[in-house]
Amino acid sequence: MSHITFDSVKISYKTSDGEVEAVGDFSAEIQKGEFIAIVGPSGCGKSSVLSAADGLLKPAAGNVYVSGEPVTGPGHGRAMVFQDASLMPWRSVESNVAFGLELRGVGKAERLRTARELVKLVGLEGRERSRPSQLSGGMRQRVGIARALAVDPEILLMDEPFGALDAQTRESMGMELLRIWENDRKTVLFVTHGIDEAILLADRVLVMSAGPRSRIVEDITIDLPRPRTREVRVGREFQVYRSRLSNLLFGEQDARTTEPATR
Amino acid sequence: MTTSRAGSQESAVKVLTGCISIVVVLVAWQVSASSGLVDASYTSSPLEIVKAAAELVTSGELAQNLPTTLFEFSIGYALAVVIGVPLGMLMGWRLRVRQVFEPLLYALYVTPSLALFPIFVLVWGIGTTSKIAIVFVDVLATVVINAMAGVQETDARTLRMAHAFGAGQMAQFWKIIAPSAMPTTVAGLRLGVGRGVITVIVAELYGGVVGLGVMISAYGSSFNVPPLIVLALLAGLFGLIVGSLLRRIERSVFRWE
Repeated sequence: MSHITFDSVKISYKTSDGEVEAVGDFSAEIQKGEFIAIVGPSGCGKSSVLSAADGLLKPAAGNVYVSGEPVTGPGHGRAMVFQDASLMPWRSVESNVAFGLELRGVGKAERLRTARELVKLVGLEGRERSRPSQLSGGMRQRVGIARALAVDPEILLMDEPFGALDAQTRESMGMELLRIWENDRKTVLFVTHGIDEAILLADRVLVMSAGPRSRIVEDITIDLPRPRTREVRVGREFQVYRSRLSNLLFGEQDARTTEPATR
Repeated sequence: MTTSRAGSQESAVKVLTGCISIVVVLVAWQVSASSGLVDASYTSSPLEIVKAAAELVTSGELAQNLPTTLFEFSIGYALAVVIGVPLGMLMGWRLRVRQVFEPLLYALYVTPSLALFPIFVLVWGIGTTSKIAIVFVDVLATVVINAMAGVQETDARTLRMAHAFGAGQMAQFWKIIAPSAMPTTVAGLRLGVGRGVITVIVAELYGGVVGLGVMISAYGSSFNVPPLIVLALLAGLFGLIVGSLLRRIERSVFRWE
């Protein structure tokens, strides 16, 4: 049985002009331990798909199943990492990381012990007592990842987690994430608009069409050896995946909007 | 370390320059009063004021009146905080509660409460109770409106995060909404001190048996300016001390701001 099943998920929003169907028909099967990247043009509803997988958002039609059970709300097996980290500014790093455990009624000593282990795992040892405002964007995102890992989820849902970071930080965070993921290979759904990032991290890339009524236009298996390193990016295979993805995402658009080269 | 040292040096300089300006004003005031440049019977003079202050203290007049004013203020203020903070937060959190209370509270906030004072006197008499009531009403509006605003400013993304981690309504309130509303709420408490002090004294001016306002009214009608100024300064000083105490708490507790 697949770990996550999207069964003809439709997502619509109410706007002042009436109801807009953002995601038209999203179907996918995701196996346990797979690292899935979802890419698509902005506004295609890829984040909404993730919200539906977490149960934060109810699909207008269709269903999401986790281990065969329909998702009805946020649940114990899943944890989310947000684009803006969404830390609580009044709490220290370790207390932010312990938040999920606190909500589950884990005792203070135990949850702080777990939190400190994870703070260490994400490379923030020594910053346990810092406030989020004292951290850089990359560090804040590490805290967000540690907080998600602290509840030991089976599924990690990541909503453009490195989208707000500069290119260099972004890449090193990606490698960092792979290092952590190699430990226990959780199932990951990773939403991004970065093609390179998607290829570098994922086992499969789901490419969505532009909205409204977006759907999966391509499901590309990334057959690159693991554990992956930065060097994988200079290889020929990587370039092939990249041009295929960028054709899918920008190809038609480029043909329409780009002027002929004048050189 | 160096930054906090520089910071304390900076604040020492600030205090010092503040003192210099005060001293200059006091000296100028004294000189112009004793030289007859201005009529000291209107303006009094710093030395006269110090004398009057000493007299108010030694005669026991202050000791007789000050506790009443403090009592009226403290009880009215405390009641307003105890009721206003939860009410305001509830109003910010729950639309229905807000719809019920908001018009009333805004009306209360903009109404000069002194206009209501005669009614309070009719109900509770000229004594302490009517003053507690009016302080309560005035501070309540300020406290409620700020607590409500604090709750409404809660970052929707943080709430979404809490929801995603499985926080129910109560957990969302206690772990996200209440702490994130605290800075604005405490700012409201600080504003409430100012309003409360003004209200208690003005209410006593209207009528009463004991209290700072009663003394001010008595000295005012007999054109005895020095004690009048002492009392006005005292009220200002009280507001300043309580206000800066709350500001201190704000700064140390809500460092993340």
